[in-house]
This record gives sequence, C-alpha cells and structure tokens, in this order.
Amino acid sequence: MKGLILMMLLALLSPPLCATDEAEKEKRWWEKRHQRTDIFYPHAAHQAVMEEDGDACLRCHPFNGSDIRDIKRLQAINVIANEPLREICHSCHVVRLSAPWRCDLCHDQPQKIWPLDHNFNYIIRHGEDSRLDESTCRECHLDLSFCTDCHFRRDSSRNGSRHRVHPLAYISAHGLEARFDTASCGRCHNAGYCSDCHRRRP
Amino acid sequence: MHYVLVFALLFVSIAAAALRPVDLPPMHHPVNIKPSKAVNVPKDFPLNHRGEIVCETCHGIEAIEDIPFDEVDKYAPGFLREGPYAKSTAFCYRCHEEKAYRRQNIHDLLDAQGNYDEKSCEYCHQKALDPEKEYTREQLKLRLPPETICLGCHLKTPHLNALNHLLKPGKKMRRHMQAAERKFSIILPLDEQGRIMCVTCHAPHERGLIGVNKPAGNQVAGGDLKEGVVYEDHPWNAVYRADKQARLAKLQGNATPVTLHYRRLRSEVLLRLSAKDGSLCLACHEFDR
Repeated sequence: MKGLILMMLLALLSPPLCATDEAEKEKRWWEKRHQRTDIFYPHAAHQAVMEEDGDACLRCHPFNGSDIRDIKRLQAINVIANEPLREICHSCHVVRLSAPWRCDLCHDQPQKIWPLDHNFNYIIRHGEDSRLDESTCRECHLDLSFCTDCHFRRDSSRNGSRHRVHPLAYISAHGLEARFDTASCGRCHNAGYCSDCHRRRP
Repeated sequence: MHYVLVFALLFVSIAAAALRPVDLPPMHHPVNIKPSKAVNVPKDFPLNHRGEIVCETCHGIEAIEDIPFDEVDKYAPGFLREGPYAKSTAFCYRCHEEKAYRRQNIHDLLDAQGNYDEKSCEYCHQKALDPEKEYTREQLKLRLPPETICLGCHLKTPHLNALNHLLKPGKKMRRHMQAAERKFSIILPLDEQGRIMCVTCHAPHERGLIGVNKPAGNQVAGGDLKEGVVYEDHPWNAVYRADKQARLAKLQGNATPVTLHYRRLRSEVLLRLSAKDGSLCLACHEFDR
C-alpha cells in the first residue's frame, strides 16, 4: 500500500511528459512568423503552378545584393521584401479567378481585411451600398451565393420577411413583375434562369 | 618674466592641440594628408588651405568635426558629398580610380586550360590542397573558421534575406537537409555550432576544380562566373516596385534608397543547388500546406 502511495506521489511530482513533448516539438515556419499574422501564403499549394510558370522562391523572397550594414534597417527591409503583394495574388485569385478564390485560404480572419464600416452592424445597412455600387461588393464577395444564401431563403425563422427578396409562392406571381421590370430580375438572374423552366413549360 | 612663462605655456598648449592627431571612428579615411597625384579629388570637394584632406572634403555637414561621432546624422543628404550613394564604394571612386582597386575574383580559380594557381587557394587555405583528395574540415586548414572566412571580402549581409538564414536549423529541417544531401549528392555544411553559413548554400570553388561527381564539388552548371548572378524583370515588376517603394520610403527617411525588384533568375553560379528552380531552398524548407 505504502509503495502504491509513493508511486502515485512520484507520478504527481514528476514533470508531465506531454509538456516535454510540447517543448521539443519544432514550430512550423508559419508558427514562428511575427511579421504579418493577417496573411498566410500556402507555399505547397503554389508549388506546381510556380513550376509551371517558371517561377521560384526568389521571386517573392528577393536576394538582391545590398551593402546595408544597419541590421535593424535591413530586417525591416526584409519584412517588406518578403510580404505577399495584394495585386499579384489577386490577379489569379480575384481578377482572373484562375485560382481558388476563398478569402480564408490566405486571410485567417475577415475582420482584418474588410472595410471599417463592416464593423458596425453592416448587415442592416449593406442593401443601400450594394444598390449604389455592386462592383465594390464584388471585389471581395465573388460568389453570388454570398447574397443568395440569405435572400433566397424561404424559411422566415432566420431572416425575417424583410430580407426576403421574393415572398412565398412567388413562382406563381413572378411573371407579372418580370414584365414590369425585367432589369430588376437581371440583377440576380441570368437569362438561363428563365429558360431552364420556360423551355420545358412554355 | 612671469608673463613670458604664461605666454610660453599658452603657445605650447595651442601648438599641442593643433598637432594632436584627430580621433576618427574605425575604418575611417585618414585626414590631414595631401592626396597623391593618383587621386583625383573633385573640385567641389574642398581641401584645406594646405591642400590636405579634411572632414569637409568628404562630408557636407557644417562643422562636422565639432559633432560627436554618434550624433552625426549618417542619413543626412550631405553626409557624403553629392550623396546618397547606392554603394559606399561608389563614393570612394569619386577620388580613387575604380580599375586600380578592383579586387581579383578569387572564386575564378581555373584558367582556360583548366589549370589553377596554388596562390589563389592560399587566400582561404593556409596551404594549397589537392582537389582530387577528400579532406576533413580540420585538414582544410582554413585561415579563419568557415563561418567567418567569407567576411574577409564580403559583408555579413551581402544580400537581402541573408541574415535571417544564419541560424541553427531545427531537428526536422536537419533531417530534411540530410535527405537532400543524399538525394542530390551535395554537401550542405553547417558551422561548428550547427548554424547555416554562407557555404551551406554557396559553393566557394569554381565548378570543375573539385570533381562535380564529388559532393563538395557538385554545384549548379551553366552560369558565367565573370558575369555572376543575372536576373530578368518579371512582367509584374513595375506594380511590385510601386507597392514596395511607398513603404520603403516611409522606412528609409534620408537613408540611401533601396529598390526591390520582382524578377526571375536568368543564370546563377557558385550555388550547391539551383535557386532558379527553387531546389536550393527546398533542400532545407518544406511546406505542409
């Protein structure tokens, strides 16, 4: 019995093994980053496309010759030099859409990159801005589902009727409104949206 | 008699003050000397009435000799006359003839026939070695430890991103480096403390001096040692420069301007693996995502 108590005491007093493992665990390079925490560049994901384009690490991590001896200044220049450049990233991910365009692939928190007015209950006021200049919204919200996920919901439990674009059973009444103001339909629907049904049920 | 003594003492102290050598920071150009005929001091660089080099010859800061060294604004536009200069040697060559001071590229070891001059080896080694043989680090008899020997000619920070590489790689990275050494039949040597050093990535010997089938001699091919590393601008260079320049301007104030480029390597030399295709970087770095 005494031996058992002694063993239990030793087990309690000895340093936990998991803590040692944690200390020995090598941090991955992005865990060691301190310069920019708002952008993540998935290197492995870019490797194939960079090889295809004939580009390599030195394109973004310049090794320019330099005779700067002021270490602090040099470190600050290195940080600027190594940062990803918005226009270059966005040329594939936003403009040409030749690469995945999910913002959270590189930006860990939308709050860090969205406009300041989004911080103040913007969901209530977004409608007016979107009607004034929809293209500004589309700079970030590339997928129309960002709008339709709310506006096309038919259940009123979450959104309430004022967020709904069309009332329940609108399919029966839409023809009249479509004749009054076809352009308003066109803001969200393309011609295919109509013809998908009307071809079948003229 | 008393007055004579006072005047004599005053005269001696003034003379002593005038003759006292000027205390200059280390590695500073000497002053109060007459430039030789081989030196062409520009007309706008004033000498003193005896035609000697003084502080004002090089520095355009008023009464700089009265300012303590650590209080002198090295980034002031006139710190070096008609500056700032992109390279500090560019200022030296305002007076000195550049050709006369051009150093021999000691990495350029082989002549057209593939022979080498043993004297070139002795820049770094105490004694020329046989490139056909293999040596331990101790047997290389380097004049300085391998992590500092390059600093005899090169800066510790000769290029951007150099400084943040001079670190001890972690266990995982070391394993990855050893795998790369085996895979590519190269060496990626570390210093005595296990840190990355210049020759971890750079091969110091001209390709061909040590057989390329030996790990120590294996290195990138195709570059011109006289031409060095050659870059070509990427089509995005103008956008990149405009973006970086705005932030660099905030950082550098009056310091010598730095320009960053978005460009590709066209040719490379004296590297253990190619940086052009990234294989040199990937010999150490690996990415999970």
